[in-house]
Amino acid sequence: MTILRAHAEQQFAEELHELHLNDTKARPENWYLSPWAVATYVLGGTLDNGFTIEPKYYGNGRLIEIAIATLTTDRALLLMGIPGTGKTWVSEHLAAAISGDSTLLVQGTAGTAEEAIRYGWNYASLIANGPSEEALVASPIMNAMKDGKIARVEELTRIPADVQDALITILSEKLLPISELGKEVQAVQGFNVIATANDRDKGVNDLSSALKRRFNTVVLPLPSSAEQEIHIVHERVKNLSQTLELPAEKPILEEIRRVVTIFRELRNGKTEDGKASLKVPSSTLSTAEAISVMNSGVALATHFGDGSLRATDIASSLTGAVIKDPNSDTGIWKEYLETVVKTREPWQDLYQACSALAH
Amino acid sequence: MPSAKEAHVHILGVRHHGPGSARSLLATLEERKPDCVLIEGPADLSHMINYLGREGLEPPVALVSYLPDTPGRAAYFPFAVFSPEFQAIKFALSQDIPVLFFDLPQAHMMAAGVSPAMPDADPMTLIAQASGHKHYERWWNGLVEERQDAKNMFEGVLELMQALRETELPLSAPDVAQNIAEEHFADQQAFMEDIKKLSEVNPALAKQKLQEAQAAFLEAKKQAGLRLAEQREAHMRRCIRNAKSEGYKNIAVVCGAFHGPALCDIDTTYSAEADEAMLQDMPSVAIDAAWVPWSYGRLSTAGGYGAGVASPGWYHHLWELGQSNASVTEFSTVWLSKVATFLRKEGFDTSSAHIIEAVRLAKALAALREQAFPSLADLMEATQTVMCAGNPHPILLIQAQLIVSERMGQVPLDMPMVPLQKDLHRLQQELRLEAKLEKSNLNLDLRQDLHLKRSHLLHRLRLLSISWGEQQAVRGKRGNYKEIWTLEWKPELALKVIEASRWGNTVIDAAKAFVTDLAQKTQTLDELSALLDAVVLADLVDVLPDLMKRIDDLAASSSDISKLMKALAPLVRVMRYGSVRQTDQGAIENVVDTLTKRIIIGLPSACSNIQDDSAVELSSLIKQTTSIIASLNNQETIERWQDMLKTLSDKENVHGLIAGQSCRALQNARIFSPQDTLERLKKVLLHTATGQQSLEVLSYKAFWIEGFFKGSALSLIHNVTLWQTLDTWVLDVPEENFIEILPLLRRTFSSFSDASRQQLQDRAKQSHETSETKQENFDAQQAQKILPLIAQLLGINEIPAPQSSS
Repeated sequence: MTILRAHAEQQFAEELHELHLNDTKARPENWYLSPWAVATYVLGGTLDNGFTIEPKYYGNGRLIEIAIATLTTDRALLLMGIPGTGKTWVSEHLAAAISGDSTLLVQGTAGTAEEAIRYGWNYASLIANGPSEEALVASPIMNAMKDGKIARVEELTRIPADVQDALITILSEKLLPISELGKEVQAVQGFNVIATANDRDKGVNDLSSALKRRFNTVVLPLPSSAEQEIHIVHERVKNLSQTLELPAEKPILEEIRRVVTIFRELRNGKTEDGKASLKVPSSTLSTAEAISVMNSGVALATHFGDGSLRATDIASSLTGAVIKDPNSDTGIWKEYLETVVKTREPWQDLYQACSALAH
Repeated sequence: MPSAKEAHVHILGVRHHGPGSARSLLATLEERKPDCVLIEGPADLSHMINYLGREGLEPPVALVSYLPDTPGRAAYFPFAVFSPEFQAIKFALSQDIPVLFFDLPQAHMMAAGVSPAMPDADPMTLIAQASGHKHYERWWNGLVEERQDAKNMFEGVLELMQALRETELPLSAPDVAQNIAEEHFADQQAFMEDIKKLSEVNPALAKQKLQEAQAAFLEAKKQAGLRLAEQREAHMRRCIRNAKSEGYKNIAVVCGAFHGPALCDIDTTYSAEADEAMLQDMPSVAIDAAWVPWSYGRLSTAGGYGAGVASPGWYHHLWELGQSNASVTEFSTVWLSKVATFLRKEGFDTSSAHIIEAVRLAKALAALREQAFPSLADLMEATQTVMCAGNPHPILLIQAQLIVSERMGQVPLDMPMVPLQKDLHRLQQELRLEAKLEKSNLNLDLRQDLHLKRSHLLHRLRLLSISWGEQQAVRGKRGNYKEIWTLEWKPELALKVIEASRWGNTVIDAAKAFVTDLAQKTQTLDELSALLDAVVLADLVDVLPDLMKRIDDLAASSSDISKLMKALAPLVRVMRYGSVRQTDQGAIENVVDTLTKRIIIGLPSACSNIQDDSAVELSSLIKQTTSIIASLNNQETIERWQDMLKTLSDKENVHGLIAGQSCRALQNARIFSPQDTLERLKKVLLHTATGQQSLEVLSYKAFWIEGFFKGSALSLIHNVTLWQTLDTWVLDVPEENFIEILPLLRRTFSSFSDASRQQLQDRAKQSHETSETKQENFDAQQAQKILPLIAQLLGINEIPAPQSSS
């Protein structure tokens, strides 16, 4: 049986290994790679021995450098951005490259409890034998502190404020007291935290200023140009179709360009030539969604079509991606189809396919 | 050791306004101890150099050279404290070494009419990219400006430029270009005539010829620019030769890095004869020069100055710390402390811990990027990430306030300045008005002498297009003696001062001369009277008689009544504010009198037989003039005006709008009794000679109604007879015509307030019901109860007994 989705350190094990072997620069204690090698791993490049490292992040390289430099200091890293700008993706790869382990993960939800950040108890053992180290269930963060690794907190702002504040002692004092045992865990060199937060949901549980001060914030933007976005979608669709065992035929670049154009236009509220202004739907229409539209299109074409990607294969997932709120978005989408898609000569197939679904 | 004949020439290629260059330059000068310093700058302005050593001069300043008769054409040479040229001059002055400019004289440059060709940043960018940098500026900063160790920098730069010039500098073909230019443009006018003639016969060919000529012109310009660039370097070589022949043995040459290679080995590589030949018979013009205060904002590329630097504030910081031998870490910590202080001032929470963390991050970034120390970009990224929680907006503020900065220079008063500039400085000191770069508000109370004088100065400057202050509107009564100004001094205003200096040597003289000249040129009355307004505000009483005479002359010859009316408003305003402004009123009163007389005589015929849209314009002017004349408090004039309005309301052929409006004005002034008004309304609306309601007649009536009722419904509401007359007329209009005039009527009624419209609507409903229904609910006893209170309010003691009939 093949794993559906491998961890970054599994999927790119060879790259990490090569980088580790060829890494001559100074490594901070407990880092698997030096900061320079981490940058190469994320941004791509060619090693001295000719080995090619695939880029994992296509945006502004300076942002990644800031992120890596932050992790060499005392401060934790907070990656911000609207959904789908690659926050989790970057965080996973940074953890994989620095600690060789991206699995020390706390998923933030409205129900995340303090135990998930500090520690919990094995209650059977606790009742039977009283508090002891055997009865203690360590959180991923506690493990990261012990081993000098990177811990990841996803969707930090979804976590209730009182639970968030449990991070303050960990980040400022680098220690986690276990009052029941009269002990504490002191973090060893190499420990740090990468958190991600979504600035669309900013109001949910805004960070206290005490906690905010423990983080350096890097905002990951949407791709700056259409070309860049098309490139990202293309590369990711290629990778995913490999893992999903879809046929190797590349989705037509043209098709990607159309989807990316539609997303960018609706997101920016105007056509790419700037001539017409459009209404903006409630969905965020991120690059990640463009990737998923292309993927489901490829899957449809493979399993239910003749193997080559057509407008009809994308239409349904495209419509689904745009219309998140049927009340408000349906009208916007229809208007876009009629005023923009219909008027573009080579887009007639897409117009037919989408308007058939829209009615 | 160089022989007696061979003097030693040090070519010190710098970047204009580079603090690193300046520091290395200073160190090199101190080490090599030259006996003569040549600096890139116009050779004919060398006499201006000494002034840079004056006490009280604070950079940034600029040397401006201009054509005395058209000061609009000017060239600037800015100097900041971190400019290598400035430091070299200061060094030479302090050591008492001769220091000269050695670039091509401005007299030739200005005469050439083209700017010398310079390699733009592109070839530099190529080199920057070759060494792995995206931006030329960032690359040069890292390589030269932010560098600590400066040994042998000049040799390195020279070699780099040598390589650059060998590959990138194109050769010019001046001879060919000149031929083209002469062929096509020896007589430009004749050429255009030919083209015109040709276009009548063969437009396509003419267009083609014109395009060819334009292309040839552009090419010729480009070639002339290239030639000028060569001439500049030839001149630089000539000056070096001159310095040698004068016996200097150790000559330091400070020039833009790019020129370096052309100034090396001048005896072997270049021939003096060829250089002299190139410099022969250059056209020349007379120029003037002055030192003016400059600002970092203008020095930055954002300010639109070609050879600018993107971050003067940062360079200033580098220079200051470099002078105090700061350590590498201090460069970062001091800068980030400055940033933190600024952010606190702007209301962002910034603690010392933020600074510490930002310094650490900046250092980590520099290490990751394999730089010896953090660059400005690293520091700003650290600022955004650590201090601003990723928010990019404060960075924009820092960019404007710290990286560019608003520092402004000073030039002491005893420096060569145009006299007008001196007078302005004197006035600024006398009136305690400092020329500041940031916008500030100034509230003036004109009843105070100092404030009045300030107001006069600002108004005079505005006349001279030196727009230092902008006047804001003041609402309410205080408008008579209050003025609010927004002051913002821009360095380029210094040039405006020079430009205005052709009008006179003091602000007041220049303003007077300017006004007198403009008054002679202006041909329209309303512009002239607007000018009068400005003149009174600027207190230029001496020119008033001239101006009045001019207005009088124009009024006499002008037959356009609406222009006369437009001119009246500013004149009367001037009269009214005269007492505050302490101006002589007699002359103005005379002109106002003449103007009103002419308006009164001319208006009735001006309002006859006119189109609807000019009637609309005239009607608003008449309305305005009516209130102006009422404000004059001159009973005689008012009576004459009212007589004229009577004529307007009764005369045949006067447009309906104006007739109706005049009738209304007279009713308001109680000249017409309600009975008079009613008669006229009836006459207009009901008496038609033929009984036929032609469309033309209908539209006259509708316009009349508009003129009469527009803006106020009260007379319709309270005068039942008026209402009934109107009602009868409306019912009388045939339906198809009613639709035609409906928009006109609607325009009138839509100008009423909502409440009035509601009342009119109620009345329209009632007027066809019986009047008894109204009486039914009337309770006399109930009504009587409130009478005592009303009596008390009115101050009547006795209450009349109610009439038994009601």
